[in-house]
Amino acid sequence: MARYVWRRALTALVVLFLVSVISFIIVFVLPGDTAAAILGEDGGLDRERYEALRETLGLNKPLITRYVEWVTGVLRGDFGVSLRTSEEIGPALLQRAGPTFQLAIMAMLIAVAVAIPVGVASAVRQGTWVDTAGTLLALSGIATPGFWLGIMLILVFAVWLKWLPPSGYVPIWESPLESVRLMILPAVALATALMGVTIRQVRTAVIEVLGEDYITTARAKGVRERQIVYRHALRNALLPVVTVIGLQMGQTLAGAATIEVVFSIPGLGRLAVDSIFFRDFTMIQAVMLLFAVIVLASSFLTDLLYARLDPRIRYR
Amino acid sequence: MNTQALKDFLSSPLAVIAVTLVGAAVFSAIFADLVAPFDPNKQDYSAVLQSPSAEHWLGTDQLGRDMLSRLIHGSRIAVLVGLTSVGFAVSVGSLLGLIAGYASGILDEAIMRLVDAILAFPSILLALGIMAALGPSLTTIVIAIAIGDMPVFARLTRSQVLSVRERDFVTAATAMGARAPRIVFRHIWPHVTAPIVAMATLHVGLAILTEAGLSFLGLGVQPPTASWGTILRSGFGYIEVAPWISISSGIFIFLTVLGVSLLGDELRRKQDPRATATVRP
Repeated sequence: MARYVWRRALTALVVLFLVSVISFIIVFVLPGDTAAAILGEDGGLDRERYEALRETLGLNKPLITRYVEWVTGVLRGDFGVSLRTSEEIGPALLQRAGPTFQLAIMAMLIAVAVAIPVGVASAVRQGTWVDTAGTLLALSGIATPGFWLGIMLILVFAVWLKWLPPSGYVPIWESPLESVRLMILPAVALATALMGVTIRQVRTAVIEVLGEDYITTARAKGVRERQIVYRHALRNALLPVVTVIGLQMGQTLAGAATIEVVFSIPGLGRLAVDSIFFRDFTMIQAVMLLFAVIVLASSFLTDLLYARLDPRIRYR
Repeated sequence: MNTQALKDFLSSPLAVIAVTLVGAAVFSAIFADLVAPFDPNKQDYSAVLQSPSAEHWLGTDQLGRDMLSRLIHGSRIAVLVGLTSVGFAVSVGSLLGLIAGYASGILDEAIMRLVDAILAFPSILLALGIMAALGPSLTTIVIAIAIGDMPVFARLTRSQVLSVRERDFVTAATAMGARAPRIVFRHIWPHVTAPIVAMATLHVGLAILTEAGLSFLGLGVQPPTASWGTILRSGFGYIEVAPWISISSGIFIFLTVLGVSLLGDELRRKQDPRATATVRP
């Protein structure tokens, strides 16, 4: 186990290094002068602003020096300042992370709450209409554009029925009830894709487990079918399901970008989108790095959890 | 695919739905000019924001343009982006996967760590980063989606190659003195294509969703070109007075992606023996 953890951690570090290089370099892919591109039409001719910006961006230094300075800053928790608002990026990210995580966690809970019963039903009644309906629901979840579902939910529940507010955000520590109320529609919209993927994973996992010898043994002992499914099969099937949810973490967080725009939620996704419109390159670098690190960390933890819980898994 | 295989494939109701939906999308993309009742960009200020009627089946938008015609023309962008981006992703990704899987060692390690690194960026975020650098356009969208999808195909191809490369016919080819490129492309590649095709199909659907999302954010196809994402973007502003704009464009996206995903799923099901494992009721 220890050997496995070390090898896995070493690979993660190599990937982490590459991720930081990609995050840093991506905004400089643009051929030509980055500073001129940022200033664009309005300030391109202003010599003083141009030189000042080149200085801030460090464009007068070689790329490698800039990368090393950036990374050492990041390691100390210093992401630099936003080109657009001149605020510190670190605290800005922290402030924006709350709404996004609340949204993602609520979406995950909704997705799992629907996916487990539907997936189990599909697996147990494999090949029947129940299974077909489950498959159709799963694929519909994957095929629905989350931001469009969000718009439809606003239309039905806010515009027509007037049951819920159309948009907005209140921190959960200020008013928990209002916060959750505002977050229900966006969370449902974000949950559909994850729900679809999870239904399929639950179905496959349960089918596989139901073919195991210990299920036959349980049946031979005369255990009731209900108990076999929920006690013996589902418990063992949950491991691969947890893995998929861990691996979908990044996609779910990033999917929040469009949802946050639709519902006016001041989260990380919206920050990323806004930064692109304002060519706030330092902010984009930081957001990309943050997301990638979250993805790497969750897949690392998922792998460790998997290895811990399933003794058959060992690193090649 | 011969007639018998096609019959077998269409024996499941889901496959029939899949083929119908995908067929409709491809048909309207190719024959958009003939099928669409109006010019998609023709503005008519005497008929703005009209609800669905006998003349305009899906109503009109804020410039009096016929929604049905715009949505039919929008399928062009969807089909184009879906096919080209996944096409690039499969070509580059599979090539990397073939090299990594067959060469193994340091080359394998280097390719796969790079693939892991790209995979760490959630697709829409990577696309946003690339947009920031290259500026919003249709080409940028295709490039962004292709780069984001490439790792998926590299990983899949590599794992398939690893399972095939130790088989006897590869050993036989090596013993007969075949060179690496010949072994990889003539002997290994044909054995690994089936799961790649199924995966590629699923990803065409996901690419269409990503394009719609980026265009909705205003980072994709620029107006007045009709794309489902940009139509949704402008429709969102009129959600209370003209909900049909948002409703219909979303349904077009949903049905197309559903069809493509079902198709990919059916293709995968045909190959995966686990999908037909027997369970007692």
